[in-house]
Amino acid sequence: MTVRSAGMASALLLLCLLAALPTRAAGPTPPPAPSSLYDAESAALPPGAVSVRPAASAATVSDELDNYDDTPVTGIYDPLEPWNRFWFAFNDIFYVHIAKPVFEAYQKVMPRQIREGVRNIWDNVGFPKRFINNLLQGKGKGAFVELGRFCTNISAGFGVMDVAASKKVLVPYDPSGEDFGQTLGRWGIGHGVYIVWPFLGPSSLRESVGFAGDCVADPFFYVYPWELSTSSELYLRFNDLEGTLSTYTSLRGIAVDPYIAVREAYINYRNQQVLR
Amino acid sequence: MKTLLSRCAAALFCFCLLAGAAQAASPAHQTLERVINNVLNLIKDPAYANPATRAGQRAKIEKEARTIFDFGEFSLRTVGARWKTFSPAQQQAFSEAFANLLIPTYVNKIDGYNGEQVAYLGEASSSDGSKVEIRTEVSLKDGRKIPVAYRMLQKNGKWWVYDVLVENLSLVKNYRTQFQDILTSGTPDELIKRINEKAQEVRAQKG
Repeated sequence: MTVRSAGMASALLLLCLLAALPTRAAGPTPPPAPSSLYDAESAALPPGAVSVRPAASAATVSDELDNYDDTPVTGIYDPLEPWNRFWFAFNDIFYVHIAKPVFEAYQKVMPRQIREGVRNIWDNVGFPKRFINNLLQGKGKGAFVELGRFCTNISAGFGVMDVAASKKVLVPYDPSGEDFGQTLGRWGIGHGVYIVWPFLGPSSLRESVGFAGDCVADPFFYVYPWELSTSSELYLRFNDLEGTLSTYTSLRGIAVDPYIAVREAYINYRNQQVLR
Repeated sequence: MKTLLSRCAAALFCFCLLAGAAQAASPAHQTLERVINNVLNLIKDPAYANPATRAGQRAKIEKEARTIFDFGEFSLRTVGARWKTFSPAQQQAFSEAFANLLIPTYVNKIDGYNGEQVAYLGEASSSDGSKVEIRTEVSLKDGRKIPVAYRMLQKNGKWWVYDVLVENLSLVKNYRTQFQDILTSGTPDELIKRINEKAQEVRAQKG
């Protein structure tokens, strides 16, 4: 009886969610919003945050934004530089000579459809992390969108299809999602020092704490035995390597000093994510 | 009734005119779009797919890029305050080295082009209108969308690109941090040498 009522309740919940996610409106679609947009009604931004207005009409950008010749470069504090440079060189060899060729072989062997299915599973595994961190940042709408996407993809997409991608959402959906590092940033905590981890790559004190926090929100953390959870996690991460590898190789390809280029790009990217 | 209708029609007409004016692209946008379209046409040209004529097409793309990227401005902005300590000869050598690094990088990037779409999202300008940021979005084959913004300024009546932001990462700002670090411990000549070495490496990646 209880099983049946639970089933009824979840079916009802699902119906409500599906009704709340309207399908794409007919007629001309509005121009896509610039990626720098964030939800204007979400929690207040930290001081010093730069807001960007919709670019559809001519908005003004403060001149300070693009006059680099008189604004000092504000980088991250990097007292561990020699140590970090060592691990950067180590990771460089690992990415370029091991991870990249192995991944390229995997891309050849494994059909694209399966790789995308696995990526969608990985996306669903990350749902608790994104959901919790939306709530921790006071982004109710964002959390609601995550929940709706998760329910749609698990039920209608069997966990392997991203059905919700074609649905219109309440607030602009950022596929990279929220994590605990961003939550800490939103709470006003700075990066601390820059750290390069073996295999994992660029990080900072704050992001390392965030990464540890995200592990607790990862369903695999609760899977027994640990060999199964670790290998599944590693495989799902490996399957998702494409974007990271292409970003890294292109940045490395053009940089005069790749260590500094990656450090600045990483910190800039994370700061942008915190603002979103 | 008739007057009401004609008034409505007139109002609608005015509205359409206003909307049309708002939609018209700015001169900076037109300049940028023309060059991007020229480059895309050069790549779509069958001569580009043919290995025998590819080098010539690449040279044409480089020429096209030089008509819109202001490398002097790029150099000045990446070096920053130390630019004044460079001798005129060093400034010249630096600009040339930097152009030799950026152009092949750009050409190598679009080398893997297969049907990506460039969408123009809008623009923002500085309060005095001397600088404009044109925001575009490149849609890749796998569905990923990469925001690319071009910052432009007007010089001698023509609009020039002086910075490119990929995923909100400013190219100038990123190089600036690298160059400041190198210049703290080294001389301008050493920096120019390192840029030239990197440029040769990039050029060797794809011929």
